[in-house]
Amino acid sequence: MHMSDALLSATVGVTMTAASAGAIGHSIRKITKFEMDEKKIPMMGVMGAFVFAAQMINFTIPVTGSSGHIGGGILLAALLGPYHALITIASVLLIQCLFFADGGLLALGCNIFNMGVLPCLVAYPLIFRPIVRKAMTKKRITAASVLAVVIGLQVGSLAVVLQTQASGITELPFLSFVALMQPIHLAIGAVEGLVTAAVLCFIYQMRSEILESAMRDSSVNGIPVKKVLVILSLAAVLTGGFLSAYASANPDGLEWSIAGVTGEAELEGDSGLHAMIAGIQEKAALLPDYAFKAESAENSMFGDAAETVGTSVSGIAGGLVTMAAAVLTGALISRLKKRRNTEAAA
Amino acid sequence: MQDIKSSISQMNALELSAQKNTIIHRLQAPVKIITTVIYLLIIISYGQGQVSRLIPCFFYPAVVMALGEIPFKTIAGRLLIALPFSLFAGISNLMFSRETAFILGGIAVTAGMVSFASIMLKTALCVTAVLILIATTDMNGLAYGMLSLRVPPVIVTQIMLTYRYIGVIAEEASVMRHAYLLRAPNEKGIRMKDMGAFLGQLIIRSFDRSERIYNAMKCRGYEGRIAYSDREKISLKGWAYITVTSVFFLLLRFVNVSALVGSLFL
Amino acid sequence: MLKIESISVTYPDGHKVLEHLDFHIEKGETVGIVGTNGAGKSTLLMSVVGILIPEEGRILVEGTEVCKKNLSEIRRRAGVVFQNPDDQLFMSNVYDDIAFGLRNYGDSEETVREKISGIAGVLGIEKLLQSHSHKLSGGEKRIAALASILVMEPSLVLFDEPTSFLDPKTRRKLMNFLKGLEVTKLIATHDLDMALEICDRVLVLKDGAVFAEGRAREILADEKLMDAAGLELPFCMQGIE
Repeated sequence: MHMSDALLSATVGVTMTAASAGAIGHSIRKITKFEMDEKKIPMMGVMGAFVFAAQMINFTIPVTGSSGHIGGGILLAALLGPYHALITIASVLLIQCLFFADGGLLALGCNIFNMGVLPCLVAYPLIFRPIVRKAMTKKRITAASVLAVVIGLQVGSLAVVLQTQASGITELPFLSFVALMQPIHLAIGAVEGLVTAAVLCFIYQMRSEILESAMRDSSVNGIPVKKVLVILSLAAVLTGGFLSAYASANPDGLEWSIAGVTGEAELEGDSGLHAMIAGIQEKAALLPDYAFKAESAENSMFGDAAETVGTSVSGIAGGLVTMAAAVLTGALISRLKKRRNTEAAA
Repeated sequence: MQDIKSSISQMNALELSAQKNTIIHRLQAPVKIITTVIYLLIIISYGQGQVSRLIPCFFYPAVVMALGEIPFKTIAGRLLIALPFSLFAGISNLMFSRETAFILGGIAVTAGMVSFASIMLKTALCVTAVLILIATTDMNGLAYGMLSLRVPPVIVTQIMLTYRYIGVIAEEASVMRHAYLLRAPNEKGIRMKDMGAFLGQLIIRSFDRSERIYNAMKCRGYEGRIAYSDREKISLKGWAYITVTSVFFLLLRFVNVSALVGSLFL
Repeated sequence: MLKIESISVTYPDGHKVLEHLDFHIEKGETVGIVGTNGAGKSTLLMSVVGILIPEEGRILVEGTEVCKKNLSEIRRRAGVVFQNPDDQLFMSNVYDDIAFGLRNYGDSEETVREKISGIAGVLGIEKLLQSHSHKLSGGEKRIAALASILVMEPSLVLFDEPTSFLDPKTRRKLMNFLKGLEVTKLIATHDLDMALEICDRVLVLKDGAVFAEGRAREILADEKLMDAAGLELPFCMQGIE
């Protein structure tokens, strides 16, 4: 359920990056304020590597014959405490984003939020901790793990839907998207929950002190559950409501804000750079009038598609030529470099 | 994610590429990070269906990949894995917007087709841009780059430690998995009911390892903070690169290059 | 140089690892510690640098007692080369790893650079400095870990199984290097042949106490004594046809 750059609008990307950065900043303050357990620094690093490796190990799910892997948010929170877990997950997601292009750099904020903040700072303190804190037994650990993972994954996948909708890149109607995402993630969550439960029960049996010390983590008692809930529901309303309305009216968030900043609609061609370029084009007598006219046909459902109506033929032809030019340029540079390298070697 | 071997070999390929010494590799890491983020922002700022407007953006990866001598194969392989995710989201556009956008050679092209194409293009451009960054910057450089961009040291330390131990833990997991499969010849993977003990064992080993690492740190005077060398400032040359590329990206964004080129021919 | 006075260490589960252990090392000596698994070798090393604090007895490094307030000073003087270099090389590249201790002790970046280039020259690892630690071979990792300790110019170096995981040629190289290394060394090992070759003196541990002590050539060659300690003769003395 990685959110990807290509499905993201700039506004949603920036908003979610800010939200995740805030949550991480808060976590750093928490873990440094309360007796910074210096032992946990290497522990978080190694556990990050563990999650990375664990996600590569597929296990077979009975009956279905398909395979799954763990996400690890709740597992880490139970082993390290929620703040340490969030920072660990964030590091893992960043490395995956860099080396495997999972999601993408701009979608990292969304992904940290969906797979880190929601399980670690919401599902863990609200569901896992209260159940296990009363009494640490295998039954309770199992119930807590399954519930926390399932609910964490449900809000996570709902967040993916909301972020995608707010971005307005896909046309999938909200309800169909939800109807598609939630049941799939219910199944995934049940499996992951059971595996998480089995792992934690094993650890409880072999090394109960690991779970107990995470449970004792004094910094966690300070999580203001109400405050977190209020902020999150506000954020949900904001992204779900305002942003999606805004996004569908202005499919192009950045352009809209540029217009807002310069105080004029950039496409009208009055702004400095644009006017200058238009002027150059006029002088070169290359300006196909319709290309720009069509562009201003925004605000329709398919404002940008409308642009393609105007430019269809010249656009497609030009696009192909441009593409070829890009590839040729690359090839040419490679060629030249190769020649120079062999000359240098000789 | 795929299995352990292919993940590790993907990382190896990128690491190997990052060891080269080209004009792109020599750029400071923070410079490349900033440029990549600006490029990505520009790409995602394109609206639905701006296919012909997106195409000129291929110039950036084409030129940088050539200058940075990045093996095309490494990027392409990853691209093939990344595309299906967008395919799923993009297909909905094919189904839900069937209005004819324009007619090309007698075939009606729907708005959905156009926006579908634009999603796939965006995916290709975004994935490539990120992989280019990591294929020309080694992880250590990236860490120092993050520090100079004011990413908190705790986070950078986490990223570096995780990165350092991925191979070690993956190797351990891989050995355990082989040991398991050798004694369970009819299984393709680890049975779900054994996953608790399998991962649990791996976690306990990881905890023990972190204890030893902690001891090794203590022995060399560690007191809760890992010191790095001084932050590198972005040089004048770096700023120049950022400016030039940004202006180029903005030009592409606001000038319809494809239409311009097209009009030359028509 | 190192004085260990009747120390006892008990694990939280009640198991006594070291019991009234007593011995000392003179400056410049190379001393081997041998003994079965669980005899207390690693525990002893960890006690010397204060990772474990014995509940009884005391340890003096160059006259300074190992206790909480002296730990920083003790760890500057006594370095530990761990058994598994993967545990010791935790930074992502070799340079930063060697620099880790120096930076913790407040050396300036310039000093750090000078010292690292010095030690890299001695060990012949100039080319490895910018490599990622996880890319090194087993032997290279071992040398890099050694460099990260030696760069701090300790007067006492503790080794935990320095020859484990090494192929024969690399082991030989390391042994030759250790022979030429002029610092006081305490080497915990199962590699009796190495102990025989490079140690002046050996200490045989059994059940957390000193079972025997003396010149390496005498102790390690004593078949009865070795057998009683749960060990056997070094391979080179076993007369295998």
